[in-house]
Amino acid sequence: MTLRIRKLELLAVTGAGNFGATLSFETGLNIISARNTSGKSTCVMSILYALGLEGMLSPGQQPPLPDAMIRSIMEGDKEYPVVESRVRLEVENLEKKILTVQRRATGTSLERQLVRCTLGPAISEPDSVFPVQDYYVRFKGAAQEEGGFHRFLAEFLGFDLPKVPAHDDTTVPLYLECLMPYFFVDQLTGWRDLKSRMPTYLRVPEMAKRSAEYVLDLDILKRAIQRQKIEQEVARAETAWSRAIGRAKQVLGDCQSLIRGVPEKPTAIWPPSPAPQVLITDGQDWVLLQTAVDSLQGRLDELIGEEIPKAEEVSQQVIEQLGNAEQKLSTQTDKLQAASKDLAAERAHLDSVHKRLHALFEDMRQYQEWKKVQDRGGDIALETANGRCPCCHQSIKDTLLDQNVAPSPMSLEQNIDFIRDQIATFRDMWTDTKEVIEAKEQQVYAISRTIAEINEQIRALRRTLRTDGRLPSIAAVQEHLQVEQRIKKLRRLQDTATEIFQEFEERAKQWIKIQSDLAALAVLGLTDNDELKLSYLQQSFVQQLQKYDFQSFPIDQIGISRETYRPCRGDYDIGLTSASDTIRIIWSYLIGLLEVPREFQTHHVGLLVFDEPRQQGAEKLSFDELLHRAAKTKEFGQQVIFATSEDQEILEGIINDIDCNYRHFDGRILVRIEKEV
Amino acid sequence: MPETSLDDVLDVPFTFRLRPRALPCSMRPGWRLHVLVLILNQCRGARASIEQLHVLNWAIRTDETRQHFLQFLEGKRAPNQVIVRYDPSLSRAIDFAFAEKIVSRQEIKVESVEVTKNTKKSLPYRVILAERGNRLLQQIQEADEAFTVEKAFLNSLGKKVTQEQVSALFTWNPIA
Repeated sequence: MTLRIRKLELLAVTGAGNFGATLSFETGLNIISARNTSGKSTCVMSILYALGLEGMLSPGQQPPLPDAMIRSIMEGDKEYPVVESRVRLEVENLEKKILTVQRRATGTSLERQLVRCTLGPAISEPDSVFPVQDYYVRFKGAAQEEGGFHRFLAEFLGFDLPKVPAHDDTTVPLYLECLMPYFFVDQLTGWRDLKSRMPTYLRVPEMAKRSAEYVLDLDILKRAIQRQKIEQEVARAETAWSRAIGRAKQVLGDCQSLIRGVPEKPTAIWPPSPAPQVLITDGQDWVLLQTAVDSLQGRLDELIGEEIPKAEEVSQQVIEQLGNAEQKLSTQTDKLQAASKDLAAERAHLDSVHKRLHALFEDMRQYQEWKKVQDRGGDIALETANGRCPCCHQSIKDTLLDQNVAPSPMSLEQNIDFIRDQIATFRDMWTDTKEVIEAKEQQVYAISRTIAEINEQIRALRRTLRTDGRLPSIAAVQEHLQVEQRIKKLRRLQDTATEIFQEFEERAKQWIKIQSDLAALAVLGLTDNDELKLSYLQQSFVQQLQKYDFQSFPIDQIGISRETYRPCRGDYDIGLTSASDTIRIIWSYLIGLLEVPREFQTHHVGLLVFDEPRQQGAEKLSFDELLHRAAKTKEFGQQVIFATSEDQEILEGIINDIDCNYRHFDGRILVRIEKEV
Repeated sequence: MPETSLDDVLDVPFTFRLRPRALPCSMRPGWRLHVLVLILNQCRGARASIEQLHVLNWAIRTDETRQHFLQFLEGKRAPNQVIVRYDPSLSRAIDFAFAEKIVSRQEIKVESVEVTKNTKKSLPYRVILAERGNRLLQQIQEADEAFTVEKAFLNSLGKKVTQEQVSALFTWNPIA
């Protein structure tokens, strides 16, 4: 992960000509020295703006750039309105690939959301031609969608930005904006506590903690993400399981059968005990599918054993059978009516249970919220809410019913428990009734099927009576066929049931795996490697504080919190220190973070931009030690950009023995340029 | 082991204790007073006639009534849907509210003199949110986790509910 700034170019077009500046940066320490209000901060903010990362500061769409880039530019005493302006930034990544981004600072917000990316050093080599791609930024989806600049930039930088756990099993992407506060310190907000600089409007839970974990590439974050992934798998497995049950019910329901004994939730042991069964109904009783198949097979064997009789041989028999069949038809029709009525009654019952549950939930919600209000208390204590009469201050029953006849009501807690019990009971009733309905539905179907079969039988018997007596009995043939078909159907059903059970077995195996993965991650916390990184950071941090002459309290009380990864004093946040010590803490911490990747794998971009704090009356800070320390970045291919208004003589005195890229501006940085660059 | 008969078992002293009874939360005076404050806040000028309070008190009670009332405000209602029920417990709640000094009474000026003079009937009045009620309101508004559904419903009513709308409910006139 590397981001190195090569060149920055500003351009503001006015009616009186063009104004602009081009700044070059190198690996190691870069110092921009200029007086206040000369445009030093403009340069620093332009870097942020060109990268579309000003969202780190606020959700606003206005560029965080001063008037000179947006409204009007001063030249001597004259002021020229800015017609158009833009910034260009040439950056390089770890693979030495160079990218030039260009973004307008004026125009409509749509125009400002466009980032033109040239895949090459467009500022260094203005005459070369490189491919150009347009991206959008500060736009919904800019971090994730194709065409989003931050997705492109993250890829360019080698980031694979994680989605961090959020509320309700969801995840949110850790945006680049959440990482920038570690790499970029602006003048206005940069010198505050790191946590308060986080772009909280992006609604990443525990943003400061998560982003620190990511920048330091701590295992704890990877594990938290892993854990959430597995938890999502658990949820998915649970849904898949109940869907499988639903499918099984549907498939089996089409054949008047149902499955009993499959647990509602995924289970690791399959088959569960007692083993699940497939039952089938004839409209009256439920039997095991296997039993039904066996008995039909028995009947078929019998039929096969008999020779098919001629119609004349069985005419007497057929007449009898016809009578029986008609009798049976009438019984079955009655049964169907009764069963349908039953079903309707059960459905009505389910509906009323559902309504009751709904009302209970509503009452429960009211009670729970009311309890919270009561527990919290408040300035306005109502006597009525505390069981006292507001007029005579005597105790009254906590009810709006007539005080004289009302029974004394339960306490809130008792009542909540009472409702909870009721909800549990009605829930059970609901599940129970639902199962009963499913079974009754199957019975109704089964009776309808029997009726259809009897009708067919009656038709066949009648035809047997009417046909030529020498022909085989149609009724006998018909029965044979019916039994055969039924067996075929039930055998298919058995196959289906086997497949269904196999699916559950498969899912049970997956469940075991998920559960064991989850158990492996049960203990969350810093790993040894995390601890090493944090100790290294702490060492660098404390060492720097010493060098920078930190004074607010003894240095041995200071460390890096293993909870928040930010500087801490004992177990707490640092708290108040003098203004200059606050600055020292930020310097030391951010440079410390920059030094960690020298020993460990991290996600730091190896860049740190400091815009010097406005020093209002605070004691003058010495940059001496800081600049020496920052200059070491060169050895490690890192970069520090330091903008300062320190007195030129003092500054040059400090840096005469430091290897750095120093640029001093006497006047304004933005100056008239001859033609457009 | 000696045999024990049912009589032996029952031959012990009995104590009857009156068990406390479960009650819907909306029948708790404290809860209802809080809701009353929220309702008043939704009425124009934080004041409402008793009639108006009965309507809103009915409307806020269940999912069904809430939906019906919203539909009514949109001008859609089936003849069998919106049947406002007078709730005697509301009158008690209002009495409590007066005593708690969270609401106060505002007499309605009646034009005809006869009514004011020769009847013992109390004058028609409006209930208006008092200073203490306003502070209670603030307290309720600050508690995000409480009265969630009630607040959401009242918010969805949009602009403040007027006496005219309520009269329309009773008289079957279209809302102006």
